[in-house]
Amino acid sequence: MFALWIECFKMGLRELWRHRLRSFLTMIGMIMGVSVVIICVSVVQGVKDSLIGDIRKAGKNMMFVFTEDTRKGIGTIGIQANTNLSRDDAEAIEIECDGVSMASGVQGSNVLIVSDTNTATVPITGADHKYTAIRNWGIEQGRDLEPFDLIASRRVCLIGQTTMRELFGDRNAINRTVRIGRINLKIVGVLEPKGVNPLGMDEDNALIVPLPIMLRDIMNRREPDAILCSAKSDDDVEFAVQQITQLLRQRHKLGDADRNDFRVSTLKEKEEQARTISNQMTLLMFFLALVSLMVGGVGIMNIMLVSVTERTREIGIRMAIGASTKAINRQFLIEAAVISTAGGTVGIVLGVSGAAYISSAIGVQPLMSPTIVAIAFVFSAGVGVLFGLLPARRAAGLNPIDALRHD
Amino acid sequence: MPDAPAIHSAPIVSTIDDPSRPITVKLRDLHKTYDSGANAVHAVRGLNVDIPEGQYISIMGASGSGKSTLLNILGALDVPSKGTYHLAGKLTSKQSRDELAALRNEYIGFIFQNFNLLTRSTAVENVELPMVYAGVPTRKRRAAALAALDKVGLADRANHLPSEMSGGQQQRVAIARSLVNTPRVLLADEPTGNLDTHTSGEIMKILDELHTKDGLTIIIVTHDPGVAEFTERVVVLRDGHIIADQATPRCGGPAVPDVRALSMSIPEA
Repeated sequence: MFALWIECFKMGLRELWRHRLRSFLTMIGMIMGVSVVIICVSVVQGVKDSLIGDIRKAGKNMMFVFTEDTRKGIGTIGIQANTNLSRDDAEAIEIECDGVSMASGVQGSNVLIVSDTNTATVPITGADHKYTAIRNWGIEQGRDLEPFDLIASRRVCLIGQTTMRELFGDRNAINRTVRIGRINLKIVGVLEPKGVNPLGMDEDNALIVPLPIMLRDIMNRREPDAILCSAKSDDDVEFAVQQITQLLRQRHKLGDADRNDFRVSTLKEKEEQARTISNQMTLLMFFLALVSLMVGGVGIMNIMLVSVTERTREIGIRMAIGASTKAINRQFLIEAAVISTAGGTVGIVLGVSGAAYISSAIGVQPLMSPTIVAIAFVFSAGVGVLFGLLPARRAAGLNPIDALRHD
Repeated sequence: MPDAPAIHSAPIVSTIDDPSRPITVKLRDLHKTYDSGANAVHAVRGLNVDIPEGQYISIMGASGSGKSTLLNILGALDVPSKGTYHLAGKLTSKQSRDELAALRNEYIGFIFQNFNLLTRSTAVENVELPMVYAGVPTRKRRAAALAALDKVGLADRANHLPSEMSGGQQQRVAIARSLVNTPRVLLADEPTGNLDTHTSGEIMKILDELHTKDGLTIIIVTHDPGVAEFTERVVVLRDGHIIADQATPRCGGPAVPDVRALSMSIPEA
């Protein structure tokens, strides 16, 4: 009986080859469906991976603690003057939370920076000596901030690649001075390039200054409005968030009914968000592709039904000389399956090359999983069989006498 | 092949009145009724026919005589409503569609008026087709198909499409196709109906040789007395009944009746 399959397969191929144009046009639905699903899934997965990679690059198991205004009726516009957090909070977190390895108060602001030749508005960050370690950010030249810089409130800073270029052009920035307002800061270190973050901001456009300088001399405030922490390990992040929340509630003397006057956010959350969104998108694409596969399948069914009518006489002849209903059924089923599988194969080739092209155009690495290719292939074959069933049954159900008399 | 040397000689030795021959086709009280709505049509009404192995027989009748119905039943394309049809000892009326298909494949060779070749397949592919359904392996199949084409003198046309051949050549391909599975009965439906006189003669000569040399049982359904005269025996149908069953002049019988004249006298039902 295996031989009959092979014969039916050969006859199917021959028949499709004889109707090359028609077969090809029928395949287009499948080609579109399969290539679109492969392109979409691999590009979306690629975007997700690069997004998650970028998020991971931002820092080591990073967590942010922001101050949050719990008083009613006061809108928060711009930078808040008051903060519920303090440097002591940061220190307490680092000491008491065993899920946390490092913590630093941070204060950011956009300020105008003046060098001997240029000026630029730069987002500057006040932080302590652990900041670069938390951000997983290396020093390219010079030195990092040191505990003594903070204790002594020394007027020093670290400069990012972009800022350095803007202020000093091609000149070496080490040991040069920049001015913020009336304060002069000596550049002691140049940060390694870090690139663009997932929000599209250039991380290298940065200036890091000791936190006391930032608060007292530049912002004229007492405490930072955020604390940057690093969890001991990736698995500790959730635990660390709980510990921080508990500790700060205790330190801020919040009752059970009080809301948190701070907010803890993690990169893991952002990573989860990126993952969820891209997975939802993948699923959506998948359903769209499924619909287009179904449309392609209906196209195949339509052509196969036409083909059965057109070839009624042929079917009659085959039956007269001894083809069983099974053989006729199989022949038409295989024709439908071959069309859709061939369409699927072309679709896979187009999809893989299309995904590579589009990904390189938008600058991500496409994630080509063999699973999705296999799924696409099996699906396309399945669609052919499914939509070939009806025409094949119709062909096999013909009465040989009537079929022979058919013109 | 019984009595092979005797059959060789012309004029042919009649298979009629030879009780030693086994019966290939045996019809008993064969009825076929078509239910077309309110009124049933009795196409065939109680036929009794025995066709011994190796007989060359023609079935004649005007249109509406039940000739086509009988052909369909003899060809195992249809089953009788009542009565029995034994083909080489097998009762066809109890068989399923697929069993009938296998029976046609193995026992019956068809030749049609309009040749009925697959138009997009070459001659050799057409001849191979019955063997495809019989499950003959590819290599053996090709060799057997080429041998059959050679037998009908078309070895050089093996790779031509039917559209590239004359009517006579197409009918010879059809004959080759009908022979490849070594059938018990060759069933020819107006085999010369679409051919000119000269080509008709060629086809009849091939059939005659298949009868005399190979001792094949051949049933020709025709309304042409000229064709019927090639055979040994003629059965004439009218209104679903047999009105004549006789030897042809070739075997010492009376003249074959002209069914075209008969049809004129059929009263309106």
